[in-house]
Amino acid sequence: MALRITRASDPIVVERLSICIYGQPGAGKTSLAFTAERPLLLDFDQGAHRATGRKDTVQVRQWSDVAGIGESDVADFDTIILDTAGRALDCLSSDIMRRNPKAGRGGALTLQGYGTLKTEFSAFLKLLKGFGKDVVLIAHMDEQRNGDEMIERLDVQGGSKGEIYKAADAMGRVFVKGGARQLDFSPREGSFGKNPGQLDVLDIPHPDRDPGFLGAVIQSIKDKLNELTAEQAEAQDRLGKLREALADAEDAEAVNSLLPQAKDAGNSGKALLHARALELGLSFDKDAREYAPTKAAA
Amino acid sequence: MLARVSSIETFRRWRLDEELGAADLVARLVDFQPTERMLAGTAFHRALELAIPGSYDRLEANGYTFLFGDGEIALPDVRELRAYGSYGPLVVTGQVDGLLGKRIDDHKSTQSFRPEGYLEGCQWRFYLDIFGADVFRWNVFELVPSRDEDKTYMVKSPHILEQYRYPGLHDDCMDLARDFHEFASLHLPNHTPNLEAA
Repeated sequence: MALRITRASDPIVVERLSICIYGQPGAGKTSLAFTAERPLLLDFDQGAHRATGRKDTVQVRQWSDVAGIGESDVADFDTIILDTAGRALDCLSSDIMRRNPKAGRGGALTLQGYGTLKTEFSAFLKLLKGFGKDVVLIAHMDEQRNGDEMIERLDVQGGSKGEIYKAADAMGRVFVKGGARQLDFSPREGSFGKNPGQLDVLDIPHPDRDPGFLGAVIQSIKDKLNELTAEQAEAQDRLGKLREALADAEDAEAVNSLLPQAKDAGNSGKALLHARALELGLSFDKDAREYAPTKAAA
Repeated sequence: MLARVSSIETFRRWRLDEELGAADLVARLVDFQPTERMLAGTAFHRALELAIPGSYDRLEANGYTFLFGDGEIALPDVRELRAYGSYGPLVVTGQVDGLLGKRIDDHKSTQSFRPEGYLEGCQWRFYLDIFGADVFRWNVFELVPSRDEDKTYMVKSPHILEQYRYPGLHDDCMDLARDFHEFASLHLPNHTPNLEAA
């Protein structure tokens, strides 16, 4: 038993995405999900028949219906939808308790069973992404009061909710405002979101008008993430070079000569340089706009 | 006026609790006494700060011992870096556990993993804003005290949770900083935060 600590390395290109869409029942989450690129919906919730623009669907009654899913089974699809992710986790929980009665007590998972749930759910999502598919996790929303504030959360049983928060690269809330359906990825006071695509609130068109709406949204998130990946690589490079140079800087003159390089590396660069200056007993002279030996207190 | 990011998060949570008055928050900010579990968390942070790549069945720091189950974590080379950001009359400071380009790493030690608490907090927002970063990664370690040995904790494989910069992030930070400044000007006009505290 050991913790393996490795050095964090270069960022990787994002080819496949897991996205979570949540909202009130009837908000149109499933209809929205069907506008993803070549979707296959795994209907754990038995509610796909209500969706507008319904496409290929598998009715899932138990986890074993999907446990053996193979690459050839989903070859004709680009996006796999779990509707709902909460029900999928319920199905998997039941399956784990069926396979190992010690993993459950009173109909709920034990700590050990919950560990199995986390591992198997995560492995299932990785399998789908390994097949080259985007994954859409649909979740119902639950409103809870916290003081005067209403907080909207995923309506998913207990600790397994954490697996969805972890798995989702992006998370958007579907809601109706002024009779129009909207999708918001930004976290707000009282609601959750993950917005790596830096998207503003989006109006959701009727599926007949834009049957590829969610597919385009997913693509724009991937594009932005890959843009960030490139920026991340540049930032790592700049900070790495600055860090090496700072390690060799032993006095105020050497530190000050690196001020332009630190400025180019943004706030993180300035923080790195400042930390090195403090190590060397330097402080920043605001008038001279440079570092100098700290004067001893009188 | 200078404020720690953690103080602003304490303020944010205080606002949500109808039971607590201004004096409770002032006491929390001025005279905070860490619990045993928090001290263990501080020691765990220290252990990770000093750890170099390798496999560890245990790490030790500040008199605490941490025993690991199987797991893996990739840590940035830049660790424990402090930065400052200006929000009107308030300067906000925070120290990240790790920095990799435009990604910030934050280690959390906890009894049980509750991601919503992290996601709804303001700490990640301020860190992204102050450091000009895009991605915030929590490495959440569940620490279970040993039944047999004092100051010894079993550590489970970490949960990795990420959040991202979003449009309006700076404005959200500015709004909260303004509210904190208003409170602190009234109730803590001469308070200087201890930047060495956990």
